[in-house]
Amino acid sequence: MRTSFSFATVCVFGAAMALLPACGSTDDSSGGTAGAPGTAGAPGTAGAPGTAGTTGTAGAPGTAGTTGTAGTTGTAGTTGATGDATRGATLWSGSTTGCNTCHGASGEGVTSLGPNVTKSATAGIGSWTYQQFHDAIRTGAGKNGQLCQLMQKFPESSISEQGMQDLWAFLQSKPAVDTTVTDACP
Amino acid sequence: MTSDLTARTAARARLVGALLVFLSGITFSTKAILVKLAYRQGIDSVSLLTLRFGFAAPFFAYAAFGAQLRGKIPPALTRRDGFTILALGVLGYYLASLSDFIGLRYISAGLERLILFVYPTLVVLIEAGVYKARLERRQQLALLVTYAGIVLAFRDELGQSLGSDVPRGAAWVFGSALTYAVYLIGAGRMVPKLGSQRFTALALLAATAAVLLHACLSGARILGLPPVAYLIGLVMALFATVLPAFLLARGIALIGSGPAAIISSVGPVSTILLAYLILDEAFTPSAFLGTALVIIGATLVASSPKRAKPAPAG
Repeated sequence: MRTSFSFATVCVFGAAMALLPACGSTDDSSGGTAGAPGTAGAPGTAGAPGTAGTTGTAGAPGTAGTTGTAGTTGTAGTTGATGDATRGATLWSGSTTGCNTCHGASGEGVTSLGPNVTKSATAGIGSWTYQQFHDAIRTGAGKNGQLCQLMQKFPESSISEQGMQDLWAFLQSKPAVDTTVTDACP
Repeated sequence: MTSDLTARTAARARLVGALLVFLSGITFSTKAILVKLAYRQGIDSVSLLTLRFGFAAPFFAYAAFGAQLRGKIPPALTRRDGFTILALGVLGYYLASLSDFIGLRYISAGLERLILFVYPTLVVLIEAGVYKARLERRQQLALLVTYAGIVLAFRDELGQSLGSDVPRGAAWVFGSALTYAVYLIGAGRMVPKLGSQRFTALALLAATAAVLLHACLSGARILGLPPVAYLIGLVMALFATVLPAFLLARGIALIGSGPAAIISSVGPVSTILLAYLILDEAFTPSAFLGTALVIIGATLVASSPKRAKPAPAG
């Protein structure tokens, strides 16, 4: 009995370990759940944050248009983290966060107030990683350095880690808008 | 002369034991910080959990089967023992860790550690309910103090946040503490039979299999993650899982579970301090008071006779 139990334990564990690469491979090839292929990012930057598409399938610059039909979940680039776009929409226009006030209803930006934050690689934050997006909201420092002073910093007590992913998923679910909008800071 | 030497040796063993338990508390307290750092990278809970258990698994396997490799034959296990270990491992390490990791998506690391720390009180309450045991006055007071502390800290965080996320996260983490408490009660029956190290290692291996199965079924991404994800997973496995478990086991063997419970209260303080320094989490006066109450209450319960050992939860 002792031997059989030890053997069974090792077998279960070994089988699970053997399954692991297969699981990872499956997920790797299937990509994420949000973002239609080719809707965002420059060539070679496929699998850009949030689009979680299959590597190498993103469209060429300029094709990032208004055809994004991502579902209600988004993934944070290659990391697999999921957010809920519906919850993100609530957070986006919530009274505490009020992102829509400066960035528009869908992240398209508001002239002389807040920039375009759609997934456009040319005018928005399509080339940003999830971490850059996260840090911009938490610390006020974006991919290209310090953001405009009007951009409020949101600690975790205001937006949880899940809330961050929900916001990200919300923005990924919205179409890319290629119009550059100047913010309040010259 | 001989008695002097014996006394000095005993004193040294107590000191070493206390130090080991203290280090165990500190190292384990980094877990929530590491989880938060991983979340900042956008890594999901299941992937992170899989990396943690996957990297730690060889150590669990060695602890479980190392004696056999050296030719020592441990006592035989029955089929019933096997199922009990499997169930307890899944409950106490897989479910407890999963709900803890999910909870950390919604609440701060400090509040999470505080809620986890109530597990000794849950053990007392469950045992009282199951065995119809009457709670002693000291236990009643300890429970009151502990939960007053939670309410104080909870209200504080709730007041700062959007509201909806904090109760959700707190419920997940409380679920983690609850499942761990149930595990401890079951473990109390199995440890005398198997020994602490063997039982814990087998339970952790069962949990590892459950985590891997979950990762596979849920399609969690394990390969192709950013390098930092593997680094965090490795550090979490070694320094926030394996190391504290071994340090604590050795520490308890040297000083006993009662003193170890008291020294382990450094855990929540350490997490809160690290969260303040590394994650920039707020630390308000009421959170401070709430933390003190939880530590006093949980320590009173955990250090009372016949209470569960203060092994790390989650």
